[in-house]
Amino acid sequence: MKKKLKILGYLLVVAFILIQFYPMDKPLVSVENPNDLLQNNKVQKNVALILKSACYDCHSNTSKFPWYSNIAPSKWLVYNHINEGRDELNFSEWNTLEKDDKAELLDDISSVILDGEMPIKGYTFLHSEANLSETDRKAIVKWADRMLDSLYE
Amino acid sequence: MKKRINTILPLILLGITFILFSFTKESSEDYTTITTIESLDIPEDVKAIIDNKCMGCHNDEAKSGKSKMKLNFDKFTNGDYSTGKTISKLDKITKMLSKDKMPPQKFLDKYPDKKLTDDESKLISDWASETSAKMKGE
Repeated sequence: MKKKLKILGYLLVVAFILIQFYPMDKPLVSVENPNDLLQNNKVQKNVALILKSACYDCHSNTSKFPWYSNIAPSKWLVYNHINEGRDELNFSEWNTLEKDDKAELLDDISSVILDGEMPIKGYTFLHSEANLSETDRKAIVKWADRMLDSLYE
Repeated sequence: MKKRINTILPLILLGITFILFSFTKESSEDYTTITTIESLDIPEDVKAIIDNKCMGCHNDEAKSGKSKMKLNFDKFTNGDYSTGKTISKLDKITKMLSKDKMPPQKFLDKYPDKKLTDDESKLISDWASETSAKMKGE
């Protein structure tokens, strides 16, 4: 029994080392983002801060990569989440969007923040600053709703 | 000491893997009894389809917060949505229908009779896109 466990342990270690070699492109990061939402629009400070600290890791080109994001298997999860997140909404490319697309995204932001779908649990578990308070959520929703309306005024 | 590491290390690795993969959450959609749209600025034929096939999830009393949050026909018709909101919801209806995403497949597996026919889908999406265009002043 003990021997079996030992073998299993070794196998796991070998597997762990082997999966490190599985190739996967790291999502690109850019420092200059001329089309970024916060650079081009007047967003009040508290909202901008929340967006930066709770959303920008996956929804912008300025993702920060913690140590575990360089090690498989957590690497796969982090990279996938960032790619998916940017695909849905990338604040760094906000100004390249059509008005109607902006509107739909703002409406999405409002609903996923209101019902707690975002930020995802796995992220808030490791990033306590992304654990939004009720006040934070209300601020985001209010901002998104106002900005949406301002698009069609 | 070495022996201890031999047993502990794989356990830690297992633990890490387990935690990381436990993050994916499954959302379950609930289906409640159908309610009808009270106030009207939706044409009768469109309204009839919505009442029958969409209102089960997209109404004030719906159990699933998610579908209600994304689109609530009650708010839609009693003026709770602002103009901007209304436009974006209408555009999303058109988009969802063009991609055949609503009603969701998981729901249709349980309630196959709720599937929209091509004609019904076109009727709703024409109404949504025309109304949205009008509101945008196009």
